[in-house]
Amino acid sequence: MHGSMTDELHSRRIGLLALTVEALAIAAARRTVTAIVVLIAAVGAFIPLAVSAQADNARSDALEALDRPEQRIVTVTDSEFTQASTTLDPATVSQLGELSIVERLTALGTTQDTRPIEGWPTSERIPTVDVLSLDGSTDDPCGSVRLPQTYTGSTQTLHLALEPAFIAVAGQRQPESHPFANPVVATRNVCDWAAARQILILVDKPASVQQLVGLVPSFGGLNLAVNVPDDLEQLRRDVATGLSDSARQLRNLAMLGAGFLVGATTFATNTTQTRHMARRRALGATRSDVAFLVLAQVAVSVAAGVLIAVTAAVASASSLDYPIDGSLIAAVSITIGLTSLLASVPVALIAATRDPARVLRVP
Amino acid sequence: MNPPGQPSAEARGLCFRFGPKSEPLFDNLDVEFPARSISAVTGRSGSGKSTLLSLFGLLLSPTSGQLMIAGRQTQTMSDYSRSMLRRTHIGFLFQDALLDPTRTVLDNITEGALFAGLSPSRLRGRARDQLREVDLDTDLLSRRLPATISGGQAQRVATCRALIKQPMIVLADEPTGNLDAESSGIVMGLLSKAAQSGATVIIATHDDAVIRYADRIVSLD
Repeated sequence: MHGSMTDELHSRRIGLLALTVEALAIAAARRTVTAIVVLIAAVGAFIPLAVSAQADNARSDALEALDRPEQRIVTVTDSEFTQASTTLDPATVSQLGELSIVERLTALGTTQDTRPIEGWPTSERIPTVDVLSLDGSTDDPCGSVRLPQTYTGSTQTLHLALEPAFIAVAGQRQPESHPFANPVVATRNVCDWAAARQILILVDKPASVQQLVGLVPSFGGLNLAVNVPDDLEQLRRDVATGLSDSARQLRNLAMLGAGFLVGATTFATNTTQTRHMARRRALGATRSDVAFLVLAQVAVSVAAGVLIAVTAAVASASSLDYPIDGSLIAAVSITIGLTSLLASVPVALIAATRDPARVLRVP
Repeated sequence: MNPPGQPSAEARGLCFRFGPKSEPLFDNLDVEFPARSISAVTGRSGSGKSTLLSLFGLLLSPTSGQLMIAGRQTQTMSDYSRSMLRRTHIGFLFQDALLDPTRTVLDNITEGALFAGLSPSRLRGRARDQLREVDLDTDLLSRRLPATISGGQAQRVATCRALIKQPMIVLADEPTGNLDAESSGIVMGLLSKAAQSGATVIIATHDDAVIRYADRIVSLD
């Protein structure tokens, strides 16, 4: 009986599948340790996935916003952003507003509405007045302002002190009937250009941006900061780089941290398992079997953690309408797995090469 | 199969020391352990009983001399070859049972089969038969953890683990050291049965009750 059995045994090798199943069983039996490793791996994978997804989407949103044609605005600003700038000469603004390439010219700042109101004078009480939207459209007022006092129509001009008031628009695309249709009128009657804190100029097409920038110095005497497409391109790069760098740093830190913690946990738990590793050696496990068992336990635990993290990240990203790239999931999963395994290799080697006879000796 | 009386484990001119500067524990030792027999290795504490078992279990290498298992010279074997020989030919029984506290009793027994290259799931039936043979309630115990059974029961389980792959050589280090008379009798009964089936059983012991089961005694004093 023994001879035939041993002949049969000698031809046998322990299959990797059998060892993996054993590692799974050990991992399942050592619940606390496995739970710790699963948790570390899950957090370590979730953070990079969430951070990368958020950064990717934030970057995408930012770049998309910068790419939108209607956002191709040449921003001409008072460099000091003072409340009452004296550097913005109304005559210059008027000249800018009359350029054919300027589609819209908007001033932001404290202003006074001195619109003539049709039908006045009247004895009607007017408690509120609509505030026009930035493009001067009455169809889409951006709000209403309660009048600071009751006007009885004693004059043909309604003076509104809008605080913070912000509207001054001039341009060729205003409706003919609109009080702001005539840029000169708008400039003269509506906007206290000198007090404007910021002026935005929208050009008719992107190619005109450079043309306008070339024209600006000819107006002379202005202390202006001009943002041009090159600046926007730099801004794009800055946004992308900033978001990517931050995300990458946090992502790498999380993954390396997870790998280190998995390795440390494996080391700490295996130092209490030396006799059991020696027992396996006595039962016939080779050094590579023991090393494989250690690494396979780490692998199955980390795989479980990564699976949980990916599920949670995908679910939360879906709820936020932020899709997570499949390649990102694959990259994070592989990196966490490799980092954890690499951190556990020394532990596996120590377990495999420890002298079983010495460990098994009962004092 | 080993013919009766033929040695399945033997050493010739065996020398062993733990380190190059330490005193030799064995110096030119000749010893043989025949098949189908129980050999008791006796001696005072520190005489090298456990070390001799580790040498024949291929967990240690002799400093010099020959050590043969099943007719093979082992002293020049690689660690891998020694592991292969150990997994197929040798069963270990430790003094403190050394069961895996996180695995069930049945899993502990079949672990002995796994590292013999056999399918644990296919040997579950044999493991249950063994449990019955040592008077353990199979249904009750197979799902229990070692911490919930007595020391005597644990050692019986460890004996089942050592024997499940039906090894050619069984090495038992003080297997009854922590057991009562009843459990000792059951464990020794199993080992006797293994010897009758053809195994070479080598037991390191101080226990006179165990020595009474031995066919031969090797004293290291």
